[in-house]
Amino acid sequence: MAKLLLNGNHAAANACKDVGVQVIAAYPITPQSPIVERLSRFVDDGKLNAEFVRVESEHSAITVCIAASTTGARVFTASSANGLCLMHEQLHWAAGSRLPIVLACANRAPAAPWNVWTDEQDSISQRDTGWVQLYCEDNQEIYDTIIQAYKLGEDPEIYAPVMVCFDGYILSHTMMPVETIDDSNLIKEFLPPYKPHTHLDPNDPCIVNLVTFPWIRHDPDKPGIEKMGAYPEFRYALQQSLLKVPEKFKKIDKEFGDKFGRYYGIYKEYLCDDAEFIIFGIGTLACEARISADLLRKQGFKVGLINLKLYRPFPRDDLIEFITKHPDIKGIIVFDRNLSYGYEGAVCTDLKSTLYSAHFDIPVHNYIAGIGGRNITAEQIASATKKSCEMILKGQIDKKPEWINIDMED
Amino acid sequence: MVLLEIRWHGRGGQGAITAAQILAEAAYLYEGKYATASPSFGAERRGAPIMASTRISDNKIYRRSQIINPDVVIILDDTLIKSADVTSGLKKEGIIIINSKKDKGSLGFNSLKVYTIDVTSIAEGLNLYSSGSLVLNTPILGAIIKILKITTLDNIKKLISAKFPSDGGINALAAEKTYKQTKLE
Repeated sequence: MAKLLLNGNHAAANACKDVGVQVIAAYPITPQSPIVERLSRFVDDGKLNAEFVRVESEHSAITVCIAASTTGARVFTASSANGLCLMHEQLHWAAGSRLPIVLACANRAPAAPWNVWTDEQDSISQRDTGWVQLYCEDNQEIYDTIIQAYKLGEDPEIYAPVMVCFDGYILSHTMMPVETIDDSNLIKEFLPPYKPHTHLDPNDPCIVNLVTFPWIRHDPDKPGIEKMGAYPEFRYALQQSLLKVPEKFKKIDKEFGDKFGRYYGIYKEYLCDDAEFIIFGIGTLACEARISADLLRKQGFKVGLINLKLYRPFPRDDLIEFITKHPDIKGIIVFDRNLSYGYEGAVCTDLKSTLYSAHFDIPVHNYIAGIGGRNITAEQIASATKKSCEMILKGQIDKKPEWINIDMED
Repeated sequence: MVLLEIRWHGRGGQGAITAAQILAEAAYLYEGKYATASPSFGAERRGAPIMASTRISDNKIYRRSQIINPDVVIILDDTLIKSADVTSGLKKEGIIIINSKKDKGSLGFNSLKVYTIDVTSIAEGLNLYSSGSLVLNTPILGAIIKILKITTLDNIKKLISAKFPSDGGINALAAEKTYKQTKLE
């Protein structure tokens, strides 16, 4: 174990070294580039025995990862913003092929207009590709989550790719205390070598991912006996596996915590026991909101906080259980550093859908905040939350999302 | 120390970002504090005004936003007073630590607590250059840790030596010289 001060990118790179990734392919893009720069140094210094594949685009990077993962290797890539968007087609391919690739996303605003600062629009835009998405609030969590991500994705009941997301600059370029595990044997006890479901081998050639029909067919090698999966069945199987992720992740998180002393859960809660209002969000906005909750408590508002770590699959059952156990909740205030254009923040929509599915009639207010790296302070989050609390107490429901700290007139 | 927020002003190449990191490391590794260090977010060019920040606290830091009301402002180059809003948001009881040959009364920071140290002369005296730029970051750390009581001279010298293993100890020596020349009153 080593106590270090690391930025988020280097925390991610150190985690990849410590889990012994075998193939790395990535294309540079701010603010992610230092991850792969450091990994290339680890490979060059002999500290990491991995194949480092240089590519000409992000689309090629993820494609190399897909090919390498299909040979049974443990693979890693990283990207941000437009680079991640360029991967989009192959993200579907990775998930559909059930390959446990881990991708670190240093969240950044997609252009246009050009902007290199933090924004979760890039990874939220990949929400429906079949990847697991985990969001981090500090650099220790980035290091730990990458290790957990391999364990989760490589689990035979899951076999899915995992995106570990963290806010660009705010985490990627900010140094914070990180305890690295370093001991590869200790990590191997937690994360054994990857056992692939498919193993491409030149000595035993086969085709994977050939055209898959809408209808069920019989295996031509075993006529009348064995049915071959058709396309809808593949998609159904992926969905069923992803639905197991919340329970699986809780187990993995407990095992990780018991071994290494740090627990996260699928969400982190703060001051929720007697809370009447919940601030809800992902990433560093929801981290800073701890201070907002403290500020509002001093003003007499019983505010708690949920910082959601597991965003996809959306942990509906766990959130319903949380709401059921907290009958005092009068309203939920969601802060989104992303936007589903023409509607509202993506996290807000998902939360509302969860509430509806369990017949909870709890008002939800949505704020769009911190887009394109706009600085958002705990005080601003507190002030917006306070306004919502007062409106909710008066029975007013604000259906449209409101943007905070923005210089525009309606 | 509840939360100490420090904002650094320098020019690209003067090493403000590295110094912001070394200061955070000193607080975390030697004094058991929680600490974070950030560069200015976005593009940086040699010679252009840049900012960096260090946060130090007894407790875990959850604040992720950029510093708006710093407790301390560190200025590596007094020509920045004209080109950057160096006192922006500085708390009333805030502290300015500035590399300058000038008398502190002539700098225009009325009513603020100002420490001036002629770091440039110390660096020039030691011929402390890197890629053609005068190195100001490691020497000024000697002044900062003395004024703000972050850590001991020995600790900061150890950290600086670890950061620049092949400099023959000159960066650590520069910090020591500045430490000794810094007057607390």
